[in-house]
Amino acid sequence: MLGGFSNSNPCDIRVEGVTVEVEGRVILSGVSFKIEGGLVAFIGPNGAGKTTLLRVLAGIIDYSGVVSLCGLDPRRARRLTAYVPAYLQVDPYAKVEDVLEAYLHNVRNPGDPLEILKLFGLERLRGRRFNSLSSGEHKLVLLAGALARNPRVLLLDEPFSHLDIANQVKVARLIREVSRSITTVITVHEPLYASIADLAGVMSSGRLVAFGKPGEVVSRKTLVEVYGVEMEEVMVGSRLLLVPSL
Amino acid sequence: MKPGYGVQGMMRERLTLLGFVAVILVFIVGFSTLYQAISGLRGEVSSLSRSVEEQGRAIEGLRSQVVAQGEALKDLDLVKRRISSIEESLRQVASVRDLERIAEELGRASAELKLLSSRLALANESLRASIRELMSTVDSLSRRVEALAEQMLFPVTVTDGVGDKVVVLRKPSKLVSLAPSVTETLYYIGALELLVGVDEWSDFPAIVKERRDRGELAVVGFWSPRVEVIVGLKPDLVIGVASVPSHRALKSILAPYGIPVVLLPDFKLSDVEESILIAGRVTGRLVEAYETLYKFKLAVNYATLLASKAEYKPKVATVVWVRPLFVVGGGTWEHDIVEVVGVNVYGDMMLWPQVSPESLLARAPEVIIVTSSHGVVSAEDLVNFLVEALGDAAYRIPALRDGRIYVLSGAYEDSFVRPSPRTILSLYVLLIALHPQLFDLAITAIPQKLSPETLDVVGVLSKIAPDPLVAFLKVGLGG
Amino acid sequence: MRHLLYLLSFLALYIVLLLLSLSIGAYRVYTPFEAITILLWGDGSHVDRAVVELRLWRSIAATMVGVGLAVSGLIIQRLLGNPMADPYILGVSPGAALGYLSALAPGLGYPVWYLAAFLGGLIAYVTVISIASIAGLTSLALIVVGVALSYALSSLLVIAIFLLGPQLGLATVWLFGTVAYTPKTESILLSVAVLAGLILVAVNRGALTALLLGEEVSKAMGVNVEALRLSMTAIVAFTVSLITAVSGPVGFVGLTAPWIARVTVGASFNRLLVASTIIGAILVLGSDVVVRVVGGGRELPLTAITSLVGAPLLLYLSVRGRYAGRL
Repeated sequence: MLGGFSNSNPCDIRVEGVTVEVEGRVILSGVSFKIEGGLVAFIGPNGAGKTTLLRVLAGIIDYSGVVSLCGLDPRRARRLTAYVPAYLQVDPYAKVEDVLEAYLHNVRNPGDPLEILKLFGLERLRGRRFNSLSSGEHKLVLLAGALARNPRVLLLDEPFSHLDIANQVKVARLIREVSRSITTVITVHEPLYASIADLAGVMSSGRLVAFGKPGEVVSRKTLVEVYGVEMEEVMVGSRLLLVPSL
Repeated sequence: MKPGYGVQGMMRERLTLLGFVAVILVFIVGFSTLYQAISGLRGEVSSLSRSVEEQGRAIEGLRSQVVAQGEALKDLDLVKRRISSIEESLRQVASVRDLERIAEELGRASAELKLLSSRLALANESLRASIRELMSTVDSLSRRVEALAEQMLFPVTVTDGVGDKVVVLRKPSKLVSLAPSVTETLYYIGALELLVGVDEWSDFPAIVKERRDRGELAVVGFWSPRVEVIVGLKPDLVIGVASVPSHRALKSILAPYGIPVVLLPDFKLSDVEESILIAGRVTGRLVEAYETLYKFKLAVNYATLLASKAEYKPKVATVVWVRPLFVVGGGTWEHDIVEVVGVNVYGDMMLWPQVSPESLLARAPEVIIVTSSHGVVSAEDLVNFLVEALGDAAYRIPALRDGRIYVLSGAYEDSFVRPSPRTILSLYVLLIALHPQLFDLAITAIPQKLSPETLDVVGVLSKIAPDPLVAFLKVGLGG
Repeated sequence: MRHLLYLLSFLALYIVLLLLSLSIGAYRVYTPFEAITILLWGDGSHVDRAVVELRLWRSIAATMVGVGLAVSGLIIQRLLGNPMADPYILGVSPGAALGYLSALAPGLGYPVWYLAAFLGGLIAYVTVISIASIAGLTSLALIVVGVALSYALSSLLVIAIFLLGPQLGLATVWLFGTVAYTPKTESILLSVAVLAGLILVAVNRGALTALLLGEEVSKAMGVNVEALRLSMTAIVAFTVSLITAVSGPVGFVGLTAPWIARVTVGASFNRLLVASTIIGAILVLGSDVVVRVVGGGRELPLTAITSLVGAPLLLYLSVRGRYAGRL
């Protein structure tokens, strides 16, 4: 489906002992992991530091420790990365095309964002004001912009939040597809979406408590520890789901 | 040949001839002597008649002097009669209005007396004595008027320059002045010694500046009067001007302290006259006020009269600032002054409009007056600016082409920009500068910088104007 | 395309205003045709030529003031992410006014006044930057410190005006803005500065385009947001200080022109840049023409007219059509 993205060697990401301190508060402490391509999902409570980790990878935040994307410092790697925040508010008069155009800054060989929009089936959004879009359209447009950068690393913060089920499915499928050729890091709240990833990390209070295959790492025990909420395991077909007990 | 003619006959012939010649000689001599005698006589006669003529002229001169004296004497008589009628009315003063009328007449009488004394230049002791006597009568009458004023006039309600009715309870003994024009007006009506507080810009007469520098006069501010200082001085009256907003605000601020605030109007030339009267009424110096008013009006009229003799009134623009370009427009006393001697090309715009160099080109003034703001603005500034903007075409402005740009500085500038009786000085300065031919001066004799040091207005005027007028002008120079 | 149509009509309006500006003035009103022939082929008298040339410089000055203020406003709004921001938010205007007034008092010549005004604006800017950098030089810090300093300096300004006294009070009317006193030298100076600033902005247009997505995303894309903020605000401060020094503060243009541009041609920075420059020039030049038509020889404060002209225009554009109710 998205045949245009064939980077032969997806980027690897190495993170060692990363600590982030802001105004005396420790937000991340001693985070270490390694990825060699594919999709990585980070899950954890609010304030655990997931977004901050993403921002470290995007090169927006100061940190201590070692981070390398494709062998480069995050600041050097900016040309190769594309970052999509959880929510973005822009100038009320900005149109979809303006937003897409803005995403193309500092890119060597950009793709055509409008083409990508077409691929998403959203060319009807052309000419619309960005702030008037629904949340789903919002995120898809941003994703289209990010993809148009032809990045080698894709960083998506909470790509599933504020989406209805249909859109969640759409986005999930897209991300899975894309991550075949682009190393993708996402942050999620639902254990279900952690399970679609190749690797998962569980974060709590600034630490990476567990990292590995989702099936192993995103376990009932870990989640109960981290969230402090009773969880139940539910089998749906062949799939094991973890849901909070209400 | 007849016999008997012989020698005797020849001798007889010769004798007759001799006798003839002798007679002729006698005639000639006698004639010339007579002639000489007659011409001598004639010379004497003509010299006699010349001296008779001289005598006649002397007599004529004497007679015209006598006639002038007679007229002056008649006027003197008139004044004498008026003064005695004033004396009469003083005994019957019933109301403040009567008092005012009397003060007015007394003021006029005093001024006229001074005018008269200059006309009566004869060394006639008795005349001079009678004038002196009249003057002292006037003085004592003035004092009586003042005493009456103190009783009758106060409490007085005046309508001040902003139309408010202000009540002054008693004749003030402590005054605060908030503006230079107020200080100067007070000086002219003799109320200066009442000042206990003054603004930082009042500098005329020099004694004010001295006393302020020595700390004897408190500084109370012009744009923003210091309320606490004023209250601390416990003045009986505060006098400001109508055009400054903070002075107007002061009325309600000082009301709780029981300190009345009177604002003198300061927009037009006629406001100067009204200010003199208001100041006179609130200080009880009615006679001096009327006298000053009379002299001021006389001076203005005299200037207008002189100006009317000019063949042509030039077009004038008055520049008060160069960058940006501000000029004097209508509705100001400066406009009124300029209009006596010329035509203000910006008279159709109100107050002090800001204009562009183009408009100077369009209105083509023949004379430009510049107020130097105490040396900040100069004629070069103006010319440089206009040339920068218009290039050579700037010299199409007649004033630049003819070099008739005059900069008012020093006392002449102060008297122009302050609406007090002193402003009469600037009127005459402009009259001389714009119409030098009326004073037998060449245009080239008028310097670009007009100040008391460069143009002696008093000197020029004393040749043709009556002494009291010159004396009134001298007051404006501190003399 | 609609945007192109808007741009072309703005350009056409500007040209019309330029012609009017050359034709109208206190000295004589020429027909546009006359004005052009006088200017280009030296027809008419010596005086006519001088007058039209003066008007040309005045028009250039007005244009540059408009361009400078509009672009500065655009940059500030982009950088600070605040559509209500105005180039004077950095405290430049009262700073320049204070500089101007302080040079008046000792009685120096006029170039000193302009220099002092210019320096005053820059000093105010440097003060804002220094204080804001204590808080990390974020957009919010800049806004807060800038506004606070503006108020503080404005109060100082009021005190200074009070203290100056009656004679120099006239000069304070400069505070309302005018282009009537910008003959050749000043106009050239202004043009050079504004065009230089414009070029520097154009060079950074990529980064400024990216800034639409907010600081975080732009940073992630490689935009050095701090450096951009510093350099762009410096350009704004420099340009606005110079404009204020030469022509006095002209309000409203920096706020309105980018708005009108945005409403008509959208939020793409490149289009915004072009549109803002033309609209800014139209606002100021148009106001100056209005001053000359209405004043009857008298110069009026430019700020009053720009507000009177700009406000209804902005209101109209904002509430009509598709965007009705969605301000």
